[in-house]
Amino acid sequence: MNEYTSQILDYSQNPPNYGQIENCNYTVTATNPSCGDNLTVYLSVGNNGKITNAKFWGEGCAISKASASMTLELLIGKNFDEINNLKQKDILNLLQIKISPTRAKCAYLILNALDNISK
Amino acid sequence: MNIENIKSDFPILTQKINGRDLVYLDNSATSQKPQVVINSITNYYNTYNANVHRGIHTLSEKATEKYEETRKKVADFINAKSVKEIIFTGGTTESLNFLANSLSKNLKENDEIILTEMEHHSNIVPWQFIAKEKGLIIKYIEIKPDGTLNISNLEKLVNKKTKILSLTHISNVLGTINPVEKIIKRAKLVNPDIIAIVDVAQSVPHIKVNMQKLQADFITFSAHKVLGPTGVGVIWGKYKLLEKLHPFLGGGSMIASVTKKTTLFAEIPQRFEAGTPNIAGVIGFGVAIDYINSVGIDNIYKHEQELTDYALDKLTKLDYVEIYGPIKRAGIISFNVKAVHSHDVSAVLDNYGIAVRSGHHCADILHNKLNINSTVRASFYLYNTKDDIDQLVMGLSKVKKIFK
Repeated sequence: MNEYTSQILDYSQNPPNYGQIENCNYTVTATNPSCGDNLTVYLSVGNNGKITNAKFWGEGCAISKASASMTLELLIGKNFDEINNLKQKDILNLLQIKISPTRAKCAYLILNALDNISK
Repeated sequence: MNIENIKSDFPILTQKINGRDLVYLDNSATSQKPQVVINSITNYYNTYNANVHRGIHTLSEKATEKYEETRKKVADFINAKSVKEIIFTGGTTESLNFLANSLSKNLKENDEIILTEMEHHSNIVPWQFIAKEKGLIIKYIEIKPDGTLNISNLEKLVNKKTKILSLTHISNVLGTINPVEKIIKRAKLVNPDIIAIVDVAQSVPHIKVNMQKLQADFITFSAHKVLGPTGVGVIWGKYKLLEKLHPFLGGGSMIASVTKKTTLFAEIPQRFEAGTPNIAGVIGFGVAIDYINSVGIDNIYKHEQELTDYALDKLTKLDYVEIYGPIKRAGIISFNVKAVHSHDVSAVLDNYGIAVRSGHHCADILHNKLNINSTVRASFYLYNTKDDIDQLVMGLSKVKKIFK
């Protein structure tokens, strides 16, 4: 039962960045067609190019919610351009769990959303 | 029906998953295969691998004979009038794409197709393809909140423009057994020219499907849900309609003669089976039907009904579990653990060796209608036991404990 660590459970059951941002600079939705999950990401970026606020909204499993929540937490205060540098291994570093191939789509849904923002 | 004997015929079921005895409850996705089916495939490749309907040599003749034996077994299994009414395809999805494509040749703009909101995507998307191409109109029979079809206004839905009615016999999510005979009869009273297709992929493994009763013009199903190999599907069609049906695929073995300008088709059913078929798969499917017959399809249904009643009784007692669908149903139960995503439920159960399906089970329209994102699905077959359901209930208590 190694994937449901207390960290994953905390972040998925009470995600600190769960919600919507009105008048944000960027909003984009990613979906996981294998389960119908969806994730909408909201980003506010300051004049200096730094991410000032980041939230997500939608339906997902514990892995996808924890992944989204922790990734956005990491991005707040960083330069907007740094989104482009995010890799799958960064997500794994945050989650600190082993991801099976079938759960990869859940864990990396946030990356798909962010990819669409930076395009 | 001795379940322990039956279980011992399925080598996969003896293994451990994550240190626990495998509890396989994902039978609506695919069934497991008995040793005799596996052996028949190996035996074909080891001893008489050859192409069918072609060579005048011993191996080809034996392969052809075995391949055609399965056609007879399928015809008998569903009580078809003739072996010529059985067409082999690659699976239910291919069968439905075949029918949508071939039947659409006789359709014109504004003709109507009736489906239901509980169809698998394989009975929606092919019709959407041809509807877009030909300007056809698709209408849906609605699902009621209890998970059954609302057929009270069927006569309003059907009209003279309705050309095709295509619906599932059993919902792959809710286990609802649709009154297809009644629906088809009533639709044909309004318009006798309607072609009725019944997707029996979820019913033929579990209940007696009788073509002399079902009222259908075509049915579709897959071997792999009936203890057979993957990659084999069936279309049964009324012979009179097959005579008018254009082949879906052109190529070898479906022709009588080919000139630079035109092709004369082979006889029915060969004209519908272009190219080298899945010979090993079809032969294995024949052995799977023998196995089902040796147990008895009515015994299988009775056993699954007992399991379903037992499971519904146990699951309704769990206040943290929400069950979807009608009380009277086939051996398919979809549910959610409150406030826990179906993927997480499935992942925790897997840790205890319990295999269930999670997600939307290729039925987006149904899930949207019921206003749920996804569900966990447990589905039973002849080798499942009450102990398997007890294990599922135990696993769900672990889910509850983790996501408290």
